[in-house]
Parts: sequence; C-alpha cells; structure tokens
Amino acid sequence: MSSDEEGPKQAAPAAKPAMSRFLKSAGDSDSSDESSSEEEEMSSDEEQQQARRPGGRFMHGASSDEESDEDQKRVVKSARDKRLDEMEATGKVMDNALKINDWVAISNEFEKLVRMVQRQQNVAEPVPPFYLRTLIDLEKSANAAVVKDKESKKKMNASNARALTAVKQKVKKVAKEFESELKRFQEDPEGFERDFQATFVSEAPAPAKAKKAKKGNDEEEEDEEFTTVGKGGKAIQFTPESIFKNLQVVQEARGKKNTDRAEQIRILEKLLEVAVTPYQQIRVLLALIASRFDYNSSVATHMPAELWLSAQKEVDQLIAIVAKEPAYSIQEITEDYDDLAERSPKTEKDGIVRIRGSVISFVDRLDDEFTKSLQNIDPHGTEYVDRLKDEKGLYCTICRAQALYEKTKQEDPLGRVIMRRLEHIYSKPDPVVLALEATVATNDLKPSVVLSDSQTSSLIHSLCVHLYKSGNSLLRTRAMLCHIYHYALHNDFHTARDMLLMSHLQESIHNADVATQILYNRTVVQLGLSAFRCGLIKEAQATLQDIFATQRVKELLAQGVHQQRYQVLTPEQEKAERQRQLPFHMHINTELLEAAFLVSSMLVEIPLLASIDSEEQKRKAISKPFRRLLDFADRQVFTGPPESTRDHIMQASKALQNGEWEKCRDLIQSIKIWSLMPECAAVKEMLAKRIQEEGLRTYLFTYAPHYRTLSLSLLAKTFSLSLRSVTSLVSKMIWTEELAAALDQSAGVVVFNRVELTRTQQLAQTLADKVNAMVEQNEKSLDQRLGVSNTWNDRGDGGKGDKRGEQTQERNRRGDRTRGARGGARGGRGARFAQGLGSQMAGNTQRNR
Amino acid sequence: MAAALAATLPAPQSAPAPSAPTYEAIPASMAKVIDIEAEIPITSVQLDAIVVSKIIKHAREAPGSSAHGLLLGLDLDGTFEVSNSFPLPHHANDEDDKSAKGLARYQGSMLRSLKEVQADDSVIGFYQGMTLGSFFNQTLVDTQAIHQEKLRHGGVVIVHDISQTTRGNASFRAFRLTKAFLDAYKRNNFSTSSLIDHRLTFSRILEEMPLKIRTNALVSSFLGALTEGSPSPATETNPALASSSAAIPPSYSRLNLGTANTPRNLELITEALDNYKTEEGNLAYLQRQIAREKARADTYVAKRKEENASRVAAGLPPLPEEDVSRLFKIPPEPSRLESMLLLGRIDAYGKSLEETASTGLVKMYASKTNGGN
Repeated sequence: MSSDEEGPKQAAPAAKPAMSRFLKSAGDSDSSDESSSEEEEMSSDEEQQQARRPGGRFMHGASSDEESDEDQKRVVKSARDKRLDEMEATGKVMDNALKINDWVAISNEFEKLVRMVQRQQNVAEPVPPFYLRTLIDLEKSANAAVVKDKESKKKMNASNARALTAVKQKVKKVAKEFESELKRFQEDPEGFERDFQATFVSEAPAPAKAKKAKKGNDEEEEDEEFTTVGKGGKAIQFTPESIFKNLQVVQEARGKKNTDRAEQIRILEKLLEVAVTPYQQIRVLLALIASRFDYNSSVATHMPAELWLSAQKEVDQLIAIVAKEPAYSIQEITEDYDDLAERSPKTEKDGIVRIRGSVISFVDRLDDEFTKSLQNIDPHGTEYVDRLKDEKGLYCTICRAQALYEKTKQEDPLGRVIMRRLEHIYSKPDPVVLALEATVATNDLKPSVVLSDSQTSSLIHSLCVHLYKSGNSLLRTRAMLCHIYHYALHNDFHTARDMLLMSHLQESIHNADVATQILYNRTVVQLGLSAFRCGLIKEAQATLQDIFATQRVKELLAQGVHQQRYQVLTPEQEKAERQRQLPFHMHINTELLEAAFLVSSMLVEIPLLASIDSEEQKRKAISKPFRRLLDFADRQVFTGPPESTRDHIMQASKALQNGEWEKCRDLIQSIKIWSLMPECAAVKEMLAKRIQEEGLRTYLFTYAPHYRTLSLSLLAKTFSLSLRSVTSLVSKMIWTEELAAALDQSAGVVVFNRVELTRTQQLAQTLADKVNAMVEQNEKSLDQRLGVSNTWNDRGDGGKGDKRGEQTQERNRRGDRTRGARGGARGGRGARFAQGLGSQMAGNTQRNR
Repeated sequence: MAAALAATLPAPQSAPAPSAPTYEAIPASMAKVIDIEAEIPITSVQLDAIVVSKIIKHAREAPGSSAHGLLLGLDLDGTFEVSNSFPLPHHANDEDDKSAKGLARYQGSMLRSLKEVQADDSVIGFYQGMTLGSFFNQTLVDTQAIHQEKLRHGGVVIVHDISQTTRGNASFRAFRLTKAFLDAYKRNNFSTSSLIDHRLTFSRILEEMPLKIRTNALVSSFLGALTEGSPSPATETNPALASSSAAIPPSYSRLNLGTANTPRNLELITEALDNYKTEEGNLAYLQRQIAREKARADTYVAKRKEENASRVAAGLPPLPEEDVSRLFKIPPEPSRLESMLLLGRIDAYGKSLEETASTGLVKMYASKTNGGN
C-alpha cells in the first residue's frame, strides 16, 4: 500500500460507471427479465456505494496521513470482512456461470466485482489477491472460450457472444490498470498474499480465508474447499471467548439501515453453536430471537414460517435453559452490567445472574406473528392448514412459559401468558382443545393447570379464576369474556348470560380497547347462538338484535373490513382495521348467524304482526332488519323458488303468516347452513316445534275475529300438537291478554269475546300515550334543567349541589323501579314534579324581588 | 299576506282633522265621546247583529276554519262599534306572492265600493273562524301585530268558534295583543330569557275584551218570530208522544252526549301534540348546536389566554384577544313563539275536550242512576 498506487485507483471510478452502464445495455438486450433483476441489483449496489462513500472519502483523506485511530479501524474491519465475503460470493457465481458457459451472467458478476474492488480502493485497502486471481482465471477462460467458439460449429447465441467479447475487453482493461499488482502476484503469489495479510495483522481472519482458498488450483476443488473453509474460517472467528465481542458488534449493527439481517441471524446461529455456558447461551438466544423478530421490518407483512419455527424452537430452548438453571434469571429491568464479561452465579453477589431480556415479550411476539401470518395466508389453501398445525407447538411454548413463570413466581407475566393460553383455547371445540392439551402433557415442563379427565370447562375455569385473581383489570375483563364465550359455546346459556349480566360489562365496554370490544361482540353473538341452540328463541332474538341493527356485523366481529359508502378510509385506518381482523379459523359464520337471527325474528315477529291491528302499532317493530326484509319480500311481484338463506326465511315467514306451518317448517329445515351448526338435527327438531307453536299463535291472532268459538281438538289436529300443549298455549295467551277469550273446558272450545274499540276510544288511547310521552319528556328536561341550575344557582355551596345530584339520581332510580307498577309511578312522578316546580318558583320569587 | 293587508290599510287617523268647522259640528253632548286624538282607551267591543250573522254564515260556508274577513266600524267612547264586515277570499297557499297581491287589491276595491255607497269603510280589525276553541296561529298573530301598529287603537280580532255554533251557542270572542307580547314581537326576540322577562306564556299573548251584541228592534222581532214559529222537533216526529203528554213534551235531545265532535277533537289534539313534539325536537337541536358552538368559542378563548400567559411569561407581547363572535358564528337563540302558539292550541283543544267530556260524563252518570232506580 503505497502512495504511488493511488493514481490508477483514482482514475478507475470515473471510467467505470459509464462503461458498465453501456455494457449492461449491450449485454441484456434480449432478456428483459434478467435486466430488471439486474437493475435492482445495480441500484441497490449504487445505494450502498453512496451510503458508504462519505466514510470512504474520509478514509481516503486520512490515508495520506497513514494513520487511523482504533475506532475507525474497527468499523473498517467489519465492513471489509463483509466486502470480502461479497466478493467471494460473486466469484462463486462467476465460476458457476463459467461451467455452463453463460457469459452474460459472468459479465454482470464481473462488473459487480470490479465495483466492489473499486470500493475497497476507496477505503484505501490493497487489492485482495482473490480478485487478482479471479482476473487471471477469467482472462484465461475467456480466451479459451473464444478459441473454442471459433472451433466449434455451433455458434454461441448473439447476446452470449457479445457478452463474451465484452468481458474479454473489460478484463483486458482492468488487467492493465492493475498491471503492477498482477505482475507481482504472478511472480510470487505467496509473497503477495503475505503482504496483503501483513497489512491487517491485527485482523487476521479475513485474509486467512483468502490464503486457504488459494491453495486449490482446480476450479471445482476450489469451490468445495471454499465453502468448507469459509465455515472453518468463521469457526475460528467465533470462539467462546469472543462471543460477547461478536454479540456487541451484532447488537450495534441492529436497527441500522444497511444491516443485512439474514447475515446477522447467521452469525448469531454460529455463536449459539459455540456458546458453552448457560450465560452465553442465554445471551446469544436473547439476541438471536430478537433479531429473528427483526427480520421483517414492515408491520404489514408476516414472518416467514421457517423463521417463525426456528424462533419458536429457540424460545423453547431459552425457557428450558432458564428453567433448568434457577441461578439465571431473565428480567426486564436489571442493574447495569458489563456486556463483555462472562458471568456466572459465583461472580454475582447473591448467586443469581440477572440478565436483561423478556421471555414474555418473545412469547407475545411469537403469538402475534402467528396470528399475523394466519391473517395473511389465504384461508382456503392447504398452506393455511399447514400453518395451523404449528399452533400446537406454539401452545406448548406458551404452556412452558407459564410453567416457567409459575416457577419463578412472576405474577404479571404469568397473567399475560395465561391470557395467551386462554385465548388459544376458549373458542375451540373440545376435540381441538384435547389435542392441544395432549401435546402439553407430553412436555417436560408442565404448567400447574392442565387438562384433567378431559373436562375443558374445568380447565378454562381454573385458568380464568387465576386471571380473576390477578390485579390487571384488562386481563380480568378479557378472561371473563372468554369464560362466558366458552360457556355459550357449550350451550350453557343460562350460566353464560348470568355471568355476562353480573359482570356489568355492557356499561363499560364502550371505553375498552378495540380488541376487547371485538371480544365482547363475539361473546354476545355466541351467547345469542347458544340461546338459539337451546331453543330460547326470544332470548336469541333479543341478544342478536343489537348487533344486527347496526348492519355492520362483519366489521363488529372483526371478520371483514366494512365498506363505508359515504366516507373513504385513510390507508392507515384501513391498515389498522386489517390488523384487527381475526384469523379465519376463529370466525363465527355470519351466514349461520344471520339465519339464526332471522329465524328467531320470524318466530317472534310474525305472531306479533298478526296480533296488532292498527297502523300506528305496526310501525313499532321488534326487529327492524327482519321487518325491512319482509316488506321488501312483500313488494316482490314474483317470487321464485328460494335460493339464498334469506329467501328461505322470507318465504317461510309468508307461509307462517298464512297458517301453513308445514310449508314453513320444510322451508326452514331445508336451509343448508344449518349443517354448520353443532347438533343440527336437534336444532331442526326444536325449530319445527317452535314453528308449530308460533303457527298456532299466528292463526289465533289472525282468525280469532272470525270465530265465536273454536274447538281445541281441531286446533290440535291442524297444528299436530297435543291437546295439552294447545290448551296451555291458549291459556297463556288469554292470561297475557293477547287474546280476548275464555276456555270452555267442558266443551273443549275457546270462546272468543272480542270487543271492538270505537274510533273515539282508539284516539283516546293514542292521546293518552302521546301525553304520557310528553310528560316524560318534560320531566327529563326538567331534570336536566335542574342539573344545569345546580351549577349556576348553587355555586356558592357545593355541598348542596351534590345533594341535589344525589336526589335526582335517587329519583331516577325510583322512576325505574316503579315503572312496572303504574300506581306507584304516579306518586313518585307527582312528588318529583312538585319538587321541581317548588324550586323554580322560589327562584322566580327571588328574582322578582 | 299580513304585509299586503297592512299596505292597503288607511294610515292611522291620528292626525287632527284639518277642517276646523267639524269641531263646531260636534254637538256638545258628543264632544266628550268623540276623540279625534284617539285618547280614550278602548275597553269593550260591540257587534251589530248583521255582523254576527254575516260571520256565522261565512264561517259555515268556508272550508275548515279558514273563514277570515275584515271588520268595519267606529270607535266611540271606549267601545269599538262594529257595524259591518266583509269576508276575504281564502287561498290555500298563503305564501304565494300573487295571491297576497290579489287579496290586497280585492280589499282595496271593496273598501272603495263601500265608500261609494256611503257605508262604513274604516277598518277596525278582522275576524277569524276557528274550531274547538283553538285560534292561535302565526298568521293571526302577525296580522294583529300589524293592525295594532297601523289602526286606530290597535284594532281588534274577533274569533268565532264554528264547532260551538253548531252545538247551538254562537261563540264570539274579542282579543287584542298584550303590550308585553307586542314589545317582544317588535324586537323579534322570543328566546327563553326574553319570554321570562316579558313574563309571556300562551295565555298572555292576547288579552280578551268584553264583547256584546247589539240587536236593533227589527232583528229582535225577527228572532222572536223565529223562536215562536218552530215547534219542537221531537213532538213533530213523534206525534203520538206529543199528544199523550202535552204539558211537557219529552225531549231526548237532552240525553245526547254531544260527542259527535270528540273524535275530531282528539285527532286535532293529537296532531297538535305531534307538532309540538317536532317543534321541541327542533328547538333541542338548535340548543345543542348553540351549546357546541359556545363550547368551541370558550375553548378557543381559554387557549388564547393560556397562550398569552405563556407568552407574557416568556417576555413576548401577548397576542390580541380577537373578537370571538367574529370567528365563531354562534347561531341566535331559537324563537319559541311557534312552540308557545302550539301550546296555546293544545290548551284550547284540551279545554274544549274537557267541556264536552264533562257534560257527557254528567249525563251518563245521570242516566245510570236513573237506570238503577
């Protein structure tokens, strides 16, 4: 490395780019595919070059001083290693291309190599012998190829031939530039090698590679040697002693722009191989897992499956080590320690080595990445199923983490990890949970809570109980919802409903985060489905009503992005929305849901429709979505045979309205989606029974005015119900005053005594309703007014205002309580009214004075 | 329409008559009664029989409660003496500019013609038909407000209840606007605070004036002839009964509950309630709008103050406190006149409903006790 070499080196960069560009266009005139990839390479290379250039310049300037301080050297070292590796890689590609006589590829690779060397020169490093050797080899083989080409009858194709000549010319040109070095190298390869090495005595490993690589003359042999030696060379580098140093280097490079993440992972894997002590292993594992998660920089894409699997394995390994060695503990917050020093329980004060890191965050991330990959994979392909199989392993890892935290008694992460576990099993049917638990059972590290005598409910219960006890209210809420969901899934509607009502979640859920709200929606929907399966039609209808009224079922269940008609989502919103989506296997089938909702609406609404007679009442629908569909179906001029689920239900509704319960039953039972419902036969049977009953009710409502008496046995025959159930149904209707009739037991008939309201009476009734509504409105505004007046009237004494507030509250409660009993409500209302007026009047008189 | 009406009205005749001799023409006995300066306050209204019959006829013939016409007459010694009236054509869509103009032209030509035949031609108010006691509406108030300004002594409104008349008692009431309402009306301010300040409710929009009907001898004798000439309808239809008890002819008409109008009444009150509810909804919406704007303005002011405080602390000159009203358009407080009028209507309907219902109830109880015995 002498100053007189600088002349040609300087000249090279100026000439090269133009040349290479020209060559490029010449070389790939026919293969656009190749050119595009190459262009990418080019641009990325150029970027790299540019990124490095400032440093290079700096170094260049510094080279005149022939002096650089330690820090700079270290930076140079790692960079140089990398460059050498790159060069070797291109060399290899060139060799491979030579074998198949692909000169186009060689040309490209050679260009790359030249550029790399140029860069090396920019940072004032000598030309590596490897390069010179390649140059010589290339010249030889190029000449040979030309000769061969001339001899052989079959010509090379045009582009290849062109590339060959280009390479030849280029090699010649470059050879001229490096004439002196080449000469020296040819005279004494060993000596040159030594010289080259000598410049970097301190940083031995890289030149060592080149030295060893040089040994082989035959190309193929060299190739093989090359790879093995490359590994060997690294093995030298990564000794147990230097682990921490390497770790630090890797960690410093982490997150920087031009860091090659794959390379880092490879280095860390090597380090892990050589790590001996648990401390080293833990440290390397922590870094390795972290860098695996770093591999994907963008939030949108998911981790490749192989990376994820190895990360999962490593997390397992980490947990195993920590569980085995109680003297080591991984904590998120530790005292500062020297990163470069080896530590063991003996060196620490209290015999416990604390290492900075967080297993729970790895587990969390692992789980999140799993979900993310499921979100991104097409759910109808085999890939999805394959990916789903990994859940077993993930579940195991989570359980192991739980066991670990149980052992170390860290409450907070334990809660989180249990929540993760719960989220994996709460929505799954029993066989799946059993399978998951079976794998856990085979594991060496077992959490305290495992499946016992295949009772999934007890497993869920114990997990939830643990979370209820933990202090984290969010976890408590989520655990509660999961618990309810599980009960609902197992058709235990009443328990689930009671739990939901007792939790009072419906009051506070609006303040919860989106994920919890989604879970809440799912739980409510599942509750509705469970009610439906249990045959509790009214409950099912009421539960599902809310979510269907919004008409955004898919969005609320996070099973699809809602298309807003009048506003466009910003890309960020849409991205966030997409991230929220549940993976496909967690979905609740919305079509089944809709079918359940519409059928229960039908069973509730049709008798109601039949029972009301005035136009006014007709407007008050219980289920608006159903009513809308029904109106639409009414307006249809021609109705074909039913196709969709909705068609089925609408036609069934019509049949039920007309009293044709058998047709209705057949239509409902022929809906295909029921097959997705567990215990579908039982559900269908239940539906048939309900249809019979509601058909009877509808019939009575519709045709009662036309009868004076109606025989019970005829009714029983028409609706093929037992006389007993007909009697009970009719009595019930009479009792609830839906039917103005009496039962004549001796004759076995219903005697109707219908009283028609006169117009005046009807009007008077509506008037009474209206006035009632107005009074209520007035009271509400009066309360509001008093609330407001509290603030400006009683500002002087806050205590009084408080008391007033309590009073209004108390009054409201009283109002609620007595709303059922009308008489009581009157008194309360009157008192309230008087009170309000009194205070108003007092205010007035004061003002008047 | 009101504006057009006003345009054709004669200017207030407060200007002293230019001709001095008229003073002399007034007899001493009448000198006290005739006030050219309009100084004597009006205390009562007197309707001539011809006006009564004209109004009744018009109200019965006009569809709904749309009967509407002008009153002509004089004020004499604190009494409006209404001596004549004529109906005005009714247009379905009052908003139409053309119809308003046509109305004005008709009114002008009518008054001119009356003058030509030497009849009374000085307008002293208008009359309005109504059903079931409800007469509050925006047009009435607007018209009367204009009259009150333009006419001598402010004019008067006569309202005539058609439904009462069909039941046999001709109902005429005379009203004029109260001072408090007129004040609020002039300022065009019917916000809550203004209502409180003026102590306005629907019952205080109008003040009633005593009204009497003057029949001249000819009319009296005609009426007398009418009552004598018509035999009881019950006796006529049932001659057998009439012959059996000639002393007191049985009349079942007294047992009539008089509920023929009740459905209509109920419908109207329901409608009025609905309207009121809508109006309330509008008001509430506007109130919320105002509250929102105010909150925004307040936060802006608070922010500016805070900023100024920090600027002062940093030694910088404070930013000017701009006029908030310019930045934020706080909508004016909504007028509650409409809802007040609606309340008045509801009240009137309620009252008439109560009237019929109570008499009906009494009759029913009476028949029940009779049936028991």
